[in-house]
Amino acid sequence: MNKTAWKRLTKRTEFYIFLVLIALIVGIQIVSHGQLLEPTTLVTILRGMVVDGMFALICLIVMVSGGFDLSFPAISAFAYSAATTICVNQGWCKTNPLAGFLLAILFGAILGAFNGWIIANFKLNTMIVTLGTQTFFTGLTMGLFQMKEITSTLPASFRALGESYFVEVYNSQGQRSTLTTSIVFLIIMIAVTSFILRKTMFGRALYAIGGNEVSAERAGFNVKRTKFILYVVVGALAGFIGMVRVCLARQSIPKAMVGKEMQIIPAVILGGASIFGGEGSVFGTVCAIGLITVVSNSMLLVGIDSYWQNFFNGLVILIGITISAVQAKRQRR
Amino acid sequence: MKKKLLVTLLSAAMAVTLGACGSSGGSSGSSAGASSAAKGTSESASASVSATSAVEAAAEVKKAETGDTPTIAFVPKVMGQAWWDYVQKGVEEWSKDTGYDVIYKGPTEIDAAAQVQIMTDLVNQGVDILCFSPNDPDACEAICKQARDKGIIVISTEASGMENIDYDVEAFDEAGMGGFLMDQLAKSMGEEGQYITMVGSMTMESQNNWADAAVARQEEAYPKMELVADKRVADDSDAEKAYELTKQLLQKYPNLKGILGTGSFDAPGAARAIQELGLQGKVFAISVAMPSEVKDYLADGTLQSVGLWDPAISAKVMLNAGVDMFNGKKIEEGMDLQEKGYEAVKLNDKVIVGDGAIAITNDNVDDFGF
Repeated sequence: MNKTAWKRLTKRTEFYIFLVLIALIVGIQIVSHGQLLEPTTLVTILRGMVVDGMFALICLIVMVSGGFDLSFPAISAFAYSAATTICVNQGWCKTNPLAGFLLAILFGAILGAFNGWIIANFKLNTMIVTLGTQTFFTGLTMGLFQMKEITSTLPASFRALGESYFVEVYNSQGQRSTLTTSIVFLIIMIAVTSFILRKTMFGRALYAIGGNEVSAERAGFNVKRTKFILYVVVGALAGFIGMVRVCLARQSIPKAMVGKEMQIIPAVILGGASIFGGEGSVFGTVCAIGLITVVSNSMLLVGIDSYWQNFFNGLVILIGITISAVQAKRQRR
Repeated sequence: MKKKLLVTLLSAAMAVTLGACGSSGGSSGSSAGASSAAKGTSESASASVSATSAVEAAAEVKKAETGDTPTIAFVPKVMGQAWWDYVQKGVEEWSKDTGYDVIYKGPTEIDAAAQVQIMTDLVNQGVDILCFSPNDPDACEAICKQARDKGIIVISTEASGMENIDYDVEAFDEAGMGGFLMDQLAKSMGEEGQYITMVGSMTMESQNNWADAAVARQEEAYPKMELVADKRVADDSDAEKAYELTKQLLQKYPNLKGILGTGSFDAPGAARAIQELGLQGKVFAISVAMPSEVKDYLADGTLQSVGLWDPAISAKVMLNAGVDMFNGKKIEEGMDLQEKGYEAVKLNDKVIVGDGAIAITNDNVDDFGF
């Protein structure tokens, strides 16, 4: 490797997150006497990354465009609660979960369009808008439609999807665990997001808008349309991801997503996305989500009790924001 | 034009949000509109008792001042959760049987501050009887004191340690449920082996007290059982987290044989992990749980039994006790509060204790209707 490439590499936040992740895995592996890298623990961690990882990717594309979406958990909750409720009431999805997913995507897209319409047309601060719509959407779910928890009556195909797996693995004690099929969704989404951000006009437009909206407009990007499409897509994906969680958890709990944004957004920042837009990569984001999932799944193994989980989450937020602030300072120089 | 549209939209958003929170109706037009909007939806959802609007409540208060009908409020830990939906049905039933209206209103998420806010609103509206199940008993003390100073009858459940209440209703004493769960688990485990306790959250008083009592029962009656070093884990009242925790626990403690949970998500989540790990018949879990959520696990033998009481009956007992007090009757040891398991209640200072713990097994899982 030549010197300039090395220099470029060491400047990137992703690189350090990756190093920290490796160091952490090695550290926990030693402290827990080799229990972290047991196959059963690994598949559980991968499973834990599916939903959070996909959420992080939609946060990433919003942040690349210089926006902030606080409402994605609320959109997700509305979409899966409504879709599941309809499926249960109509007796749908006994053998094929497709209808449920399509409904969730549709609901998500509608709420996303609402976000996009306000943000694109009125040119308001995205954080303020989505803070408002977050409460509004939660109001729709809990108040207007009074959506209920669905557990034992969940459509059979949702359960089947959640239970389906690729491989069985066994740990040294002979305990069996499985690698969930839904890991495919995460892999596809990583690939597609990566492709869109790097290879498509839409992706370039997002970086351009995030870098400097006025210049992007002058350079010929249709800022208004790009932003609208962005929030529709993010909404639709939020709905989809919500359904994946319903299948995995085998329950639809309208309030299960509360506070999710405060867990995901700091992780995305930690992964190298700038809160000022125009920067961020899929690799960094996935590493950061890997980091928090590894930690939350190994607290017990290393003998740290539940209280400390909050401490760690707070630490991630602090580190993430500090990194962003330092970046901003550097840029101004 | 754009601005007008935005303002309209934002007001609409505000109205829905207000309706959802059931915030106290002020005199301003917009919030009154929101309240009636909430009323409209609750009626269309045929849950007339639930989410009674502030306007309606105010009207009821006036009615109460003129006649002898008490205004009654019931504040659950949270709205929209299967357990509390069931309680809501019970309260509606009681309402129909007795002819007394009940305002049933709680926070939309498990949130101590939001719950206290709702209680404060109800106290300010001047209800006569306030029944509630606190998310955080300590956080409720101040508002309960205010309520009692105003002459409001305050009755809690799952909060036997509270000070500023008239009475607390428990389906069993804490030692009762903790011991009951431990006895059931010990039976499954053959009275020997390692076990751990699980709760929904480390700050939920009743769940932690039951877990303490279960451990005490083990120390007294089952000397061959052993509590592992981590002692207690919390699953944030989420079955998915309970599932992850169980897998971690079994990784860390290969000889773990029992998981004693006291939250309603513990056993369903743990059972899913036990099933996946292929440890049926080797690892046993029990907790308090809704029958419908453990039905499959009881049927295939992953779980042997779960513990429960009928929360709707507890709610009805709270309401009965409140009305009795309102009518000037004294609550006494051995009195009949007119529900199953409460024909002759125990009275420990301020705590009304019934005999309501029940074991749900594969044989009776369908008998309860929830």
